[in-house]
Amino acid sequence: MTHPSRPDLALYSGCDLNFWKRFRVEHHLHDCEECRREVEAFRGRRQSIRTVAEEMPPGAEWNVLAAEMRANIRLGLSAAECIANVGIPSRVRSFRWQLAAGTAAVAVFVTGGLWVYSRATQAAPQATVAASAPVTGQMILKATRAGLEMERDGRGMTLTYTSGARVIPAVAVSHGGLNARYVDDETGQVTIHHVFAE
Amino acid sequence: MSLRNSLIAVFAAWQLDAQTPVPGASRSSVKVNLPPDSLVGLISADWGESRTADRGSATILNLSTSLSLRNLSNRKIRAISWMVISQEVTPGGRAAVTKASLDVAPGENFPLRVDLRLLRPVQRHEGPMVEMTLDGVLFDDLSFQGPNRLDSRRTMTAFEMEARRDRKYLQEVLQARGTDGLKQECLASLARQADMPRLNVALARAGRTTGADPEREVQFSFLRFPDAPVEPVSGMARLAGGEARAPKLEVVNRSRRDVRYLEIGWILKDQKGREFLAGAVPAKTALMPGGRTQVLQDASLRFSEPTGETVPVGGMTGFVSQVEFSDGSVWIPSRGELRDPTLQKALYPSAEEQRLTNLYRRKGLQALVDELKKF
Repeated sequence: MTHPSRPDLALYSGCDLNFWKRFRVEHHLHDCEECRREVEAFRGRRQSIRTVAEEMPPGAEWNVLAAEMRANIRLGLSAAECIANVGIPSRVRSFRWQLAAGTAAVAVFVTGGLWVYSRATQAAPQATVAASAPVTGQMILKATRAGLEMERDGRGMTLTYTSGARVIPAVAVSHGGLNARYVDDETGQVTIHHVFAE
Repeated sequence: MSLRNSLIAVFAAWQLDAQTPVPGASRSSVKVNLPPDSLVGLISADWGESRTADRGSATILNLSTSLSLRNLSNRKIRAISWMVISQEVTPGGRAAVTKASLDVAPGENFPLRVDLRLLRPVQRHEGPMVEMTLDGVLFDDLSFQGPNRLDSRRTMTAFEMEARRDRKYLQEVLQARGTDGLKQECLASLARQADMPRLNVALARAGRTTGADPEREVQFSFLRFPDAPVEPVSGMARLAGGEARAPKLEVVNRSRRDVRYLEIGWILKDQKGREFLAGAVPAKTALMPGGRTQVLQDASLRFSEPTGETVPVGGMTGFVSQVEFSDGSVWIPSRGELRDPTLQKALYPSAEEQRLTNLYRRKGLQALVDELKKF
C-alpha cells in the first residue's frame, strides 16, 4: 500500500488539499488505520495551537491596534479630501478616491507590520552605543525606540514607552540628562520621560 | 501552508516565546511615596504585568505600574511629576515621569501609568527596588506644590506656557478660517511630525564616549529672536565624527529683569544637510539686566541612525529656547518666532500640539473642536 505523504496528510487535516487529492487521501484513510491516527494527531496539534493563539499575546491589545488603524484611515481620507476639493474632472476625482482607499488599505498593513515590529524591538533593547566602550563606573544614558535608559557597569533602568502608545518621541538633551515625550493613545496624556546622570 | 495557518503558527510561537509572569513580583519591587501634605491622593495601585527573563548573568524585570490618583485640591491640575529612583540598579541615577496638558478637576480621579525595565544581577534583593516619589503638581493658576527636587516647577510651567500658546493659536485658526482651516493646520503639523529625523542618542557626562575620530572646534551660528530676553553672543563646541561635546556659549541679558535660568536650543546638521534638535544647553545663573555669562555643558552626545550607523555631525545652530526670571515666570518663543524655516524642520511641535493633532487623528475634527472649546 502506498501511503500519502506527511505534508499531504497535514494539509488534509486542515482542509487545505484540492478536490482531487482530498478524494484520494479520503479513499486511502478508509483502509489505513496508521494514516488515520496521523491525521488525528495533526488535528490535535492544530487545535492546541489555535487555542493558544486565541488568547492575545501578553501586552498585545487588539482595541489599541484597531483604534490606530481607524485613525490612520481617517487621516488618509482627510488628506485625500483636502487635495480633492480643487476643480478637477470627475474621472480624476474618482481615481483619487480609489487612490485614497488604496492608501488607507496600505496604511492598515503598514500599521500592523510596525506594531508587530515594535513588539519585537521592545523585547530586545537596542544596543545603540555598543561600540563606545564606556569607562567603568560611568553612567551612560541612551534614547532608543524602546525608551530612555540609564546604564552603569552592566546594570540599568529603562523608562519604557507605554505599550500601545503612538511613540514618535521627541528626544532632547538637557540638565545633564535625556528627555523624551510622547502622547499615550490609551489615556491621551502627554508623557515626558527624563533620565539624569549624577 | 495557508495564510491562516501561518498566522496561527506565528501567534503560537509568539505566545510560547513570551516571558514568564511573576504574579505580585512588582508589588514588593515598587514603593510609592507621597508627601504628608500632598494635594494628590493615591486611590489604588495595580502592578499586574510583571515579567522576568534571564539574559546570561543578568535578569530583566519589567514593571508596569498603574496608579489611580485623585485631585484633593480645589484647583484644576495641569501637570504632575514623579521622581523614579532605583538605588540597587543604578546608584546615583534618577529618572522622572511627568504628565503634562492635564485637565483634572477638583475631586476627579485620573490614571498614571509607569512602565520600567530593570537589568540587574541574578541574585535576589530584599525590599523595593524602585521608589516613585511625587516631585510636584502644577495647577491651572500656575501655582505649584511639591518638593521640587528635579526642578519640576520650571519644567512644568514651561510646558503649560507652551500648551496655552498653541491652544490659543489653534483657537484663532478655528475662528479665522473655520473647521477647514483647522483641519489643514492639523494635517500640516502631522506631516511635519512624520518628517522629523528619528535618531538614537547616547549621552555621557564628562569625557568622550569614543576616541576613534579626531576632534575639531566648530562655532555656533545663531537664530535671533527680537523679543527674547537673552541673546546668544558667541559659542563653540567640539565635534568628532558622530559625537558633539562640551558646548560653550556666551549670552547677554537684554531684558530689564533678573534671569535665574536659561536654555539655549542646540540644532545639529549632519553631512547630508539634515538638521535635528540635539537638545538644550541649560544654565542656572543670576544674570542681571545687561549682564553677560557663559553657558557650559560638560557632556558628550553621540547620534546614530536606528540601524546603528553613526550620524556624522557637520554644523550647529543655537537659539534661546527658554528663560526663567527671578520671580518664577517663564519666557518661551512665540509661534511667530518658531516659524523660522530651520526650526520648522528641526524643532518638534510642543507636547500640546502633539496631543491635539493626535486627538484629531484618532477621533476626528469635531473632537478637536470640542477640546479647544473646553479652555
